[in-house]
Amino acid sequence: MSAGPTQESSSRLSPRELEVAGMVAQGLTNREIAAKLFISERTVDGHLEHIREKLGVNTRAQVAAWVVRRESAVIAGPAAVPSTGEAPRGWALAHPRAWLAAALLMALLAAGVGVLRLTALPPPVIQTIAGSTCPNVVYPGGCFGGDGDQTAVRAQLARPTSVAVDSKGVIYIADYGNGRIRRVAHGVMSTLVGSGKSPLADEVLGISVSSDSLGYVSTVVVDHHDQLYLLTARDDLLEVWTVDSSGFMHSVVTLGPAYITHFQFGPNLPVGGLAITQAGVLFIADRDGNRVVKYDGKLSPYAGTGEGGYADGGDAQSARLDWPIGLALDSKENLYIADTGNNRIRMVDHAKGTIRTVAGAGEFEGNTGDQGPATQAHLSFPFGVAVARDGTVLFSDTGNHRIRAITPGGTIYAVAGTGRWGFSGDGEAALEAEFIGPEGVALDSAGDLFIADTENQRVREIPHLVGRP
Amino acid sequence: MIRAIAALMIGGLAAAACQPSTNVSSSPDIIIASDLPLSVPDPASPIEQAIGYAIRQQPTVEGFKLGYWSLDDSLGPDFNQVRGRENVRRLIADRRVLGMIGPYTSPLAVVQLPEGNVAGLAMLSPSTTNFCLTRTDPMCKGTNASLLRPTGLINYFRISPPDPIAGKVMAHYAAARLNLRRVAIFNEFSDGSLYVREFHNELANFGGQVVLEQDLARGTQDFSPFLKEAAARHADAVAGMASGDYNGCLIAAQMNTLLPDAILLGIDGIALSDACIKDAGPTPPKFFAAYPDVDPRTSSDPSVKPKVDAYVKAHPKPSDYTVYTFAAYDCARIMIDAIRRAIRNNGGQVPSRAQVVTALAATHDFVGLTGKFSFDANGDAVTPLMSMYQLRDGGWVSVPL
Repeated sequence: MSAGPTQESSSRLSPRELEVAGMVAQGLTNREIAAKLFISERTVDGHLEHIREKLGVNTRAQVAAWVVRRESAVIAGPAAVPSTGEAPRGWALAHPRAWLAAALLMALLAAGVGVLRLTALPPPVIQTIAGSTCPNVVYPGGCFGGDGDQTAVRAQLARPTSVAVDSKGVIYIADYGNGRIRRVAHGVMSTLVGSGKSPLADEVLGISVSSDSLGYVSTVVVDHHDQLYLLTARDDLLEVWTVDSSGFMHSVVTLGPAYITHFQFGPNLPVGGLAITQAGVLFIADRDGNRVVKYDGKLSPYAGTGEGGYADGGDAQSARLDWPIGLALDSKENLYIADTGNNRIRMVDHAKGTIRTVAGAGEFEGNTGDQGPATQAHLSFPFGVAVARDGTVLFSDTGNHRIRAITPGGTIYAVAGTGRWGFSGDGEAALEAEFIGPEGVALDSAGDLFIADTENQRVREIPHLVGRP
Repeated sequence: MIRAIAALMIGGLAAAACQPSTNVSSSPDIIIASDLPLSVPDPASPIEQAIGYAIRQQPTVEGFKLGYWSLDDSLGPDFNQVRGRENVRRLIADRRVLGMIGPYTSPLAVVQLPEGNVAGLAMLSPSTTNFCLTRTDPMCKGTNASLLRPTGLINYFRISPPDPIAGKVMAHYAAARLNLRRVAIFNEFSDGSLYVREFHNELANFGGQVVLEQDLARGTQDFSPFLKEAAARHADAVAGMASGDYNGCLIAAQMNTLLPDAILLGIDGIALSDACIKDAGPTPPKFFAAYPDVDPRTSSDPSVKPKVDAYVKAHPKPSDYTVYTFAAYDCARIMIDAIRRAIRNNGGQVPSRAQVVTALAATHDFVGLTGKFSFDANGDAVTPLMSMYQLRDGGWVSVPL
């Protein structure tokens, strides 16, 4: 280990820059650093620019790695994760590989060896599989283009909110801003349904969605028979559809005025979520209604009273949710709910009908708790959730621009994203990547994680993230 | 870690101190808050500056220290309603917050107004213009004011105009200033009928009439059928409920041959539009457009100019200004004034939120830089922000309303 260059670099950084670099290594975002140091985010940006320049590096991860090397030199620190799994502050939170190694260790300890198999070395990489930058369009919002292109990564999306994958690897995307369902097969992008007449093309208030529009296309889900389901909203109706191979839509169930009082539409606010059991029972998250509804031929309340808020630990129907969006089922048909407005992940026990919190501690958003008990961690507006066969819960920590995971033992850790918003990292370790407000997540049977990187107008993939049992 | 930026400007301090929002300094006795997209590529920093400036000018109210708490609803490069709603919940949780300058945009208002209403918080917006926020109309669906105000309390006020008011103002200008009486209207807006209704009613007050009304597809480029019909009906003006971003101003160039002596009238989306300047061509007709804000930098009013000059001196960069900057400054001053009266009405003690709401509702002819403000029973300004621009010599020029 060479202490010389590290010390030399160190001497080039001002005390403030060293302080900022240390906080970067702790995984803090610029906003958090700004708040801690009582300076503006722009000032933090400036410090970081100087730090990168002085160290001759380009990324936050490289800054963090430099801090790791420096601290290692100073304290003759560890060359590997300590056996306790408690890495020194500034080390374990700094280096992506260290994060992943520590996470793996914690996961294995918590879940039992062999239950969860993450590919630790080399670390999981991330890649874009659909979507690209919009030419001549003022950011944000996305645009439409690329149908028929042989390379879906050249196509354009507009705020994709949800993604689903069937057993043949066909990818479906809720192209929310474009009012379409897009389909990617063999790398070719196409429009499956939707005229392209999006309600977002108008003001989001006070406008009735016209009949030739799909309305707000929030969610796509594929069942065990590769049947595609959609969740859309038009006017006062929340609708579930199937789509046949010819692209025709068939209504499954509509939540009308008896269930839906009103919607609050928004440019980046899905209307709810959807999950389907092997037997075809539907669970529908009615975001604005603060509840989850079950449909097994008839509609019935499943979780949430309808009154927004947080009440936990008892009968699910007596619980209070706050803007639930993402839904996912585990192998026992326990239902996981991204309780977005409560900054929590909730779980309804299928057998008991009770609800409990599995992640999230605070009334307000935050970004804490990695490698600790998930119920003590702070989240920021989780929008999407997926469950692996081994029970690992993956969710989009949307406001933190990250993907996080909860082991079956209840430990939370980061899977992807630096916490800083932006677009970067394709071809690199997922923990070094940047997202912007990722919403929907989906797992395929191979353990590949698909992420609707909503505000980046892309769908991204982390191949082989979760091992098959 | 708290995500929202919380800049607490304690009265009298020149610079804002950034603090986590749960660690608001105990110094202020009373806090005025805002929620703005501050981390986006085109941040609302000028609005934040304007509010902070007004509060620094009046660091105490009736002996109580006044502070400013600024929250950020950015999620990446855009605002986000989830964060915006939570930010309002944060500030509601601090009992010292007696007023909010906002909501900033109408989509945010839809999620923030119910929170503020239940908490009985005084909210005063410089910039929300959606008709449905204060009115009940079948077109509004789930955003009717009755749903946004679940308690029925009128706690949300605005000095910005409900959008359709532009139709009324345009008609008034056409009739009173330009002496026009026969107007042909084309409409490309989904909610354009609201503008048309306002236009129609106001024109009728002057004995005028809408001689032709047609709904056109947004993005229409060939206006000749409409213009020929307007000419056949002897229209002396054309009013467009349209946007320059969707070719709405191509009609200006086409009027030269098809309706050469008529005047063109427009609304927000046309006024100050660069696309309109380009599409109107080199010899446009007389062309006026209403705009839902007031920029007092063009004012020569001696009661306004010194204050504006002082503001400009303190904020010299072009980036210090955006739409509604001075409206935000006025809103902060109106809120401070309401808090002052509420303190007096409460025997010199810190008032309750309800008392501030009552005082704000009672605002009467408050003279600001952007206008003189009182509020009606819906919470709308009796005389909301509005100005008029004329396309002249290849640019938009402010003209007296």
